[in-house]
Amino acid sequence: MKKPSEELITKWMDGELEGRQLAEVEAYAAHHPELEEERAWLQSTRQGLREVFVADAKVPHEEFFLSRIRHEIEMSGETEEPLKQSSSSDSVVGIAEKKAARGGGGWRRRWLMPLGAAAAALVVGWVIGVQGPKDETAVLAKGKGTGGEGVVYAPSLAVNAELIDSDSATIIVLDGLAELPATNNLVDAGLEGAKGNRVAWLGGERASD
Amino acid sequence: MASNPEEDPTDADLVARCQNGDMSAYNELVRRHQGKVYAMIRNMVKNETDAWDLAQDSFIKAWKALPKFEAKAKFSTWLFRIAHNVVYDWLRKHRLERGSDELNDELLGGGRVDFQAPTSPRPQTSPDEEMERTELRQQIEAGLAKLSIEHREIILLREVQGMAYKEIAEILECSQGTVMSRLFHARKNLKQHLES
Repeated sequence: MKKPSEELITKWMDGELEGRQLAEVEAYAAHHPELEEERAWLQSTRQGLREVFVADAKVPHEEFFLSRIRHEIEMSGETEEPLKQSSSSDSVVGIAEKKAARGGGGWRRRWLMPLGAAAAALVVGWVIGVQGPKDETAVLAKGKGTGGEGVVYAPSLAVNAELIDSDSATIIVLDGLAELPATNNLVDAGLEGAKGNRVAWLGGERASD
Repeated sequence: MASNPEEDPTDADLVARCQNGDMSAYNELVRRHQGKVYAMIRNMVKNETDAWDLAQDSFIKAWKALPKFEAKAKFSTWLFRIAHNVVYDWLRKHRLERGSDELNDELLGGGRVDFQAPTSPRPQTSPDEEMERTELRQQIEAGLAKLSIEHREIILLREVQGMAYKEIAEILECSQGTVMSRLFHARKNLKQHLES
């Protein structure tokens, strides 16, 4: 008996054959038990694959993700629609975006931007005073001040944040970041004192680290 | 019953509005599709940070290409095709930078990502079941990491995203016969890697 084509076997394994083609492959499989074994293997592996890899995942920092897209589109001049700041986190992002626009490209870890922006906001009177990861959304710190509500985001729950507020300066220290490439334009992003996987931002004065 | 485009616009309604420069319609399209695009890219590059950047690039490129979109395919399929091209360009660039022809496990992240997304709550399991799951997960991750990027992608599109052959063919810009044939070999290779 002639072996069915690869296409037919694939469709048979996926249960997508019918009529004469189904009969043809079934007849062949009856004499070739390895095909049945393969089909059973595929069914259990498919289940495993769906447990390991999700088809739909929550995008980290969704509002920031969306606002970055809007910003990039606006910067490219592909839309005449003005940016609409609709939420408090958007307003934090807005500061980062202005800094980014001034500083140009060269910063790959874009979600560090709100950290710099939030730090800048601290200097002008925002009150943030929390330490360490707070919840599974990876919001490291949040607070309420005269300028509204501010949120500090970080790329991972593994990152620890320390906020030190003194009379003369405000410092944010992030520990546990991935190694930052030397090409990152951290000063333009509002971040200073980057060293290895540790970043310190000093509001009001330059970090001496 | 026909849908009310004002209250529950279809992708096609939103695309038409985007083509007239309506950015708010595009926001809605991004919200609808970002989870799947991001998940697929993350499954491909195995790195959350790069996946985040690449998903953004995909949506920015899609916006720029929207005037040329003629709705021959579903918007989601077209978007996946753009994401596919973005990921391949990125991989090619990295390959050139590394001076290597191989897209090896190191480049693809080597299991740095926990693929159990926070959006997929799981029923409570016993420690034994959990251990079995962890073992299976590790085996599957290791097996998939050994596949070529083409085989890895087609397995993810078919088995994880659950796409039809026709849809995959549109994304990869090849025939359905090629899709089935590639799937046949990808599955064979995956089985070999899992058994070895």
